Amino acid sequence: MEATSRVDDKLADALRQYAVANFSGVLRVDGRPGGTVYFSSGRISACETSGAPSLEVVLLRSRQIAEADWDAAFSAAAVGGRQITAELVGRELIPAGELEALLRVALADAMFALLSGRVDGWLEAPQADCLLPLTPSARSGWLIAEATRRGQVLAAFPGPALSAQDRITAAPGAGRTGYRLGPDQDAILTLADGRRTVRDVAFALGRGLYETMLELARMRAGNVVVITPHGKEPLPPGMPVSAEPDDGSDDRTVTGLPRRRKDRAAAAPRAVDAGRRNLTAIRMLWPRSEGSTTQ
Amino acid sequence: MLAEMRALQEKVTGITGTAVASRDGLIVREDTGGVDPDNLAALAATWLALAQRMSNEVGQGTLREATTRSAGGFVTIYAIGARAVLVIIGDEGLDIAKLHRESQPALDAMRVLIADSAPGRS
Amino acid sequence: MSTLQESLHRFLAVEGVRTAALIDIATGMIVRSVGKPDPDLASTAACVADEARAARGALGGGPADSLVEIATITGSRLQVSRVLRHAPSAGLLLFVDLDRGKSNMGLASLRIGELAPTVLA
Repeated sequence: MEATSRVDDKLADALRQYAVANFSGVLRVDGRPGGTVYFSSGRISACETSGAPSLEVVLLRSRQIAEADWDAAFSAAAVGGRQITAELVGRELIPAGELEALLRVALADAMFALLSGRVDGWLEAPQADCLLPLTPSARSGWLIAEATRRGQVLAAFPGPALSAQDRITAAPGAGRTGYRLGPDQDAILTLADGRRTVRDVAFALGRGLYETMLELARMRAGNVVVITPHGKEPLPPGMPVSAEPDDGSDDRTVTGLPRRRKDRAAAAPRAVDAGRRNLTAIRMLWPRSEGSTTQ
Repeated sequence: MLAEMRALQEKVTGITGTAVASRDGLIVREDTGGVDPDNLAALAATWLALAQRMSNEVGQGTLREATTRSAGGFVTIYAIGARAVLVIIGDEGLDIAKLHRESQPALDAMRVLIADSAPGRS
Repeated sequence: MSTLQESLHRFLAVEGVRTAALIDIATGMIVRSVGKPDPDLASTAACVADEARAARGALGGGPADSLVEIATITGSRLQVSRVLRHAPSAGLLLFVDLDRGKSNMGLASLRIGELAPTVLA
């Protein structure tokens, strides 16, 4: 059972000890999501995890920095042997103070994802470069305290603790109740297709894991979304239940594999959701260029 | 097959869709939530064939997987035996290390399923 | 000292300022803070972020009507929340807590307004 609002005590203790020991190096944390923590003289300069979007994802998804500008900065930094952070500031793509602030926010989110997830163990490794280091680096005590605070805020919501691996579905009749939705909640509702987890929604939006969990906790309290706890996976609507042809014809491909039933009736429930799926398509970072829709 | 695909998606953070296609470019199973399955299957089969030819051309032996990395995420394909392709679609946070670890058992299981599905065909 | 810490530090030179902090609106977290150690600052920050979100919800409206500042006045305190950014998520706000008895509210407000654009520079 994965920890949700509680911080992993063993890892937290280890992080405090590494701080006291002025550790420089990298911790590879195994678990779900697990991740990598970058230490420099006992302070944490970065955390990379599949559990929370990096600042790069946040900046690009929100279009605060155009992809072409980011790529140009990345190349120039690589060629010139500079940090991309310095290059972004040098090219006036983001002011230094704002970059530092956003790096702190992203680091706190990554550490929250790491500490509130499942931790199976960790290994020390020598110091390594990371893409977006925070300078000056942060105290592990502060990051642990912030992760703990977040867990407490989430735990204060009624109902079972929310986990980043829970799947989300729009509640039937959502949007038609008297409960007024803001643009953020609207966006989340579009993405709540029963397949995506809380963490997936955060990535799709380009928003932090914690702020997404907070929004979802509010939406659940307002009966706007339904949470499917991690481990209980009903098939979402629209999935072909069987791929076997039912008309007796030999519906196999040349290589002998059963072909998925071409009968589009199985897709009919999806057609009902076409409006929402078109919205989902619009939210794709780079929509398909040929002009044809997905269905 | 769907169960295997779902299990892999469960184990590896960041997988947003999976699909299995035949080597001749036809979709077998898909769980991608909106990507056109026919286009996906055709592209995956072609890409696998090209990737295997590339491996062969540079004398690098058996292809393990082929991956594209783009601004919005990853697509990785694996051969399932000689007759099918597994397609994994992931977002920017795909846990690639874990995918490589977990894909082998999944591929082995899928290979058995596919062999079972076409008895008597070579 | 960090760029952020330096720019926040300038607020401590304004008469009456007890603490100055940069707060992330979506999460309510304190990004950086300077001034008198305050055990309540973390919960104050979360509340202040909620106030900004609620005010935005109440305002609705277009970009010209987006929230700029909230001032909270009690018998002894003046608290100013000034939105510095509206993006990439819910944005960032500058929070300054002043002792009313020690400050000229008008001048303090003016000075805070002057210094605010330098925080994220």
